[in-house]
This record gives sequence, C-alpha cells and structure tokens, in this order.
Amino acid sequence: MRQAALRTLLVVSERPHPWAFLRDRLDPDLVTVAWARPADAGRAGAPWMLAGAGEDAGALGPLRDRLLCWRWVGPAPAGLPAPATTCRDWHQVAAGAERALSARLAGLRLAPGCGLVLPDGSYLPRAAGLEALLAAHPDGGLPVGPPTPRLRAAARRAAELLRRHGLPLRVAWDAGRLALTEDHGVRPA
Amino acid sequence: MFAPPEVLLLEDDLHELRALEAIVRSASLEPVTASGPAQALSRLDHHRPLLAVIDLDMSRAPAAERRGGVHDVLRRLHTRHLNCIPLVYSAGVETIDDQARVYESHPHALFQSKRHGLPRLLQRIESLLGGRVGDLALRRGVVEHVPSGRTINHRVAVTLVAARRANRSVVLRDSDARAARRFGDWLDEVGSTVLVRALGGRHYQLAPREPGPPP
Repeated sequence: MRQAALRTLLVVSERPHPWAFLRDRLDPDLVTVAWARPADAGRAGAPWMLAGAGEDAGALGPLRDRLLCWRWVGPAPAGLPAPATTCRDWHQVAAGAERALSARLAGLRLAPGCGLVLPDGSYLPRAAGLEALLAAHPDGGLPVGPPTPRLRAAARRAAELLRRHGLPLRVAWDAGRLALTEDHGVRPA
Repeated sequence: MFAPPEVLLLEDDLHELRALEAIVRSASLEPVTASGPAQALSRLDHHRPLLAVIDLDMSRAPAAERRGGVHDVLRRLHTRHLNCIPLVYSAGVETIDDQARVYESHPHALFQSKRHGLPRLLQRIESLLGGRVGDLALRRGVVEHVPSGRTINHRVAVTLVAARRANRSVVLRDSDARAARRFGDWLDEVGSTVLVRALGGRHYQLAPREPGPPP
C-alpha cells in the first residue's frame, strides 16, 4: 500500500456524512479528508489518520504495520489491526484532529500538504511516520499493535530522520505506545 | 506562442453553455465546450483542461450524447487528467448523499450549487483561476509576481497556482517536472514568498517560504 500523496484523514464508514462533516471543518491546507466504506478501505492510500465507526473492521489489514493515528467512534471492533483511540462522536474526532494538526514539539510542526517544517524553517518531505508520531504527541503517543518487523522498521526510520536532522527528540516504545520524547542529550543542528 | 489554459464546460442547456463560455472567455481562458458526456469524453482525448465545469443533469442532452454518463467523464478526469480540477456545477449537489455519489467517481471534485446562479459560479471560477497564492496572482491565464509585476505564462506554473487554490498537489511527468524546477528558479529570482515543493512520488505543490531561524 502506498502512502497517500497529501496528508489524509481517511473516514471509514458506511455513510458519507462524517466525511462531509470533517471535510468542512478541518483546514484543507493541512489535511485532505477522504472517505471509504469499510469493505473498500484497504484500497485507499495509507493515510495519516484513520477515523472509523461501526462494528465492521473492514479491509484494514494492509494498514497493520503503518504508523498512523487510529480513531474510532464508539466501541472499536475486535478485528482492527491496531489499537484505536475511542471517541464519543465525530465532534470529538474533529477536535482531536485539529489538535493533532497544530501539534508542535521542539520546533517541529506539520507542513501544509504533507511533510514537516523543521525548527530552522526548512522542509522535510517523506516523513509520514514522524508526522503521525508528532500528531499523537498531545495524546501521549501512538498506540500500536505488536512490534512486527515492519513496524520496528518504520519506528527506526522515524528515529533516523530525527538523528539525521539533529532534532532533540527520540522515538520511545513503551507499553504499546510509540511516542516522541525530548532528548536533551542531542544538540540541535 | 502563449496558449491560454483550457476549461472544459459540460452543460446540456445550450443557453447556459453559452453563458459559461462567455464567463470563461472573460477570464482570458479557453473554453472547450461539450453539450453531452460523449462529446466531453471525446474532447478529453485531445485536450488537457485545467478546470472542468460539469453539470450532473444531462436530461436535455440528445440520446446519442448519453451513451456515456457524467460519471464516466468524472472517472476519466480522475484517472487520466490528474491535474484538472473538476467543479461540479449542478442542482444535484445539495445533499451529502449527492456529493458522495460524485466523490465515488472523483474524490477531489469541488461543488457549486446551481441554486446560487451563474454570478456565484463566476466568483468560484475566478477564485480558483484568478486568486492569489502568497505574492503570486493568476491573472488572465498567466502567473504574476505582484510586487515586481513580472509574469510567467508556462502551463505548469499556471497549473501549480490553480492547484494550490484548490488545496491539491500536481502530478508531473519528467518534462513537466523540469518546467516546475524552472518555475521554482524564477520564483527565487523574483524573490517570491512562495516556492515549488517536491512532495515525492512526482507530486508537487506551491508552499509558503518559511522564514529562517532568527539571527
């Protein structure tokens, strides 16, 4: 499964109304809101955030090893490939997505479209895993499933990007969560 | 020679089609008209429109024109004309279910209800093809760096500005990617607040130039 070209929030629901609600509420400069029915969800590009509803986990298996933010309105179905943060309603999903889109940590923030803006203002493309980790930072990190080799590789790649750009952050894997934490041992580049 | 960007107009009401044509011409863009889906599909074999204004209701189109449906046109735009912005101008986009049906054919379609009339459509077209991105403006089919007044009329530059107005990225082939890089060099040269950003996977987008760290 390919990463979506632009940062995408994929709504997985039988009816399109949550898609329209989020599309009209979230900043289109920062995120594109896409929609798929549960049976078709595996055909979409890998999103930055997935928000679903209902009792059908659908065809989400291909997203098992991806770093992305999972949200579910109401009780999450048993077959989801990763733990989802449960939301009361779509308003809560929207509020969480807005918070995630505006997350900042050590001068790092989401760039319009996709990628990250580094503390010196330069642009870092192809950093989907880091984008998801940054978005999950206000919530204490990204809940993840069992550490498969692919998931470990995605976490390593995120950590490598932090190191390469001299960012004072590290990727911590703790109690089923992957989180960005400040690393005071690193001197900013 | 400069060829103005093209706009596909699919409208079965000939009176409205003429009105749309005049609107597009008044914006110094080139209308490519079609009074039915079959004609629109045929036009798309030979044209690469920057924008497509599409009416969903084809009940007035001749039977022969309805061999293909409007959704075939939308699907063709989605699969083969990745950089064309579809603007569905119709009485049938009032509800979320209406919009979802269009979304299934083209997930990036924009909507403009006919209920608000042609003046509002003109505003919408102008906002897409005449709006500003940072210190750049699209005027009469060319990109202008407003502070210096310098202009560039390359198709790729115009496409990038229009796509940014619609919050979309642009997918470019190698030759067009070179044109995008030249446009990026031109933006550097004129000292624009905007730059061309390669997003990866042949996707490009205009983005504001971020200020550097304080000295």
